[in-house]
Amino acid sequence: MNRLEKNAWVELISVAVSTVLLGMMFAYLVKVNASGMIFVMIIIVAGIVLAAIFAVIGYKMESKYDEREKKIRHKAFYISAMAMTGCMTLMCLIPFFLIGGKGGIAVYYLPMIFCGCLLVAQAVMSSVILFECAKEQADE
Amino acid sequence: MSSALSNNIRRLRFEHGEMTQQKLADIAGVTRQTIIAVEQGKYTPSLTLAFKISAAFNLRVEDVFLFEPGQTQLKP
Repeated sequence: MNRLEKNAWVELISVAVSTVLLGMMFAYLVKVNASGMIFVMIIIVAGIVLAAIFAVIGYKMESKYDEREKKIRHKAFYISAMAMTGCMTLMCLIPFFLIGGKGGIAVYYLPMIFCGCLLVAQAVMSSVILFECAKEQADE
Repeated sequence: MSSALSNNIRRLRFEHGEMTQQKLADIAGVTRQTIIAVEQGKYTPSLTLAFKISAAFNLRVEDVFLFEPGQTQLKP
């Protein structure tokens, strides 16, 4: 198993763990009906910290890849961006047609849709990388 | 007009003391999978990598890589 494949597996497992943790977190927040500025501040700080961590890790990993691996990741990123767009479109259009244009949905669906789309995008990206690696190994 | 890039890497490796793909990869600063892909013509290397591979054999780029006009375009 090469470096690219290993990292793709790590990312895929991270997506699975994140899905479970986010699901539990949202269930708790909905249950206690979390609202107020303190929660807004927590979300902003957590978002900035997590984005910084992922940016640093991503930058360090990217510099270790060679040109072919970077191209595979670029292709996977492109496909995952399309998957995320498709997922976001479906998640926004389905409620529109299910409950009608003048209907309403609970606010907690919004962050769930956003986080769900991010997780789908990451899962698609890792899956495309694993698929490309498997295809190459079959050719060797 | 479409074109293709073929190479003599496999032959050159054996002519240079049966150099392994891993050794060539280490010299060129890429993974063994990249050398395999280049050798099989499934990946067209960048100019920098082409020069590095050629330097590993102490040859010019045109002695290692052959440009063949009119062939099917390889995947970038």
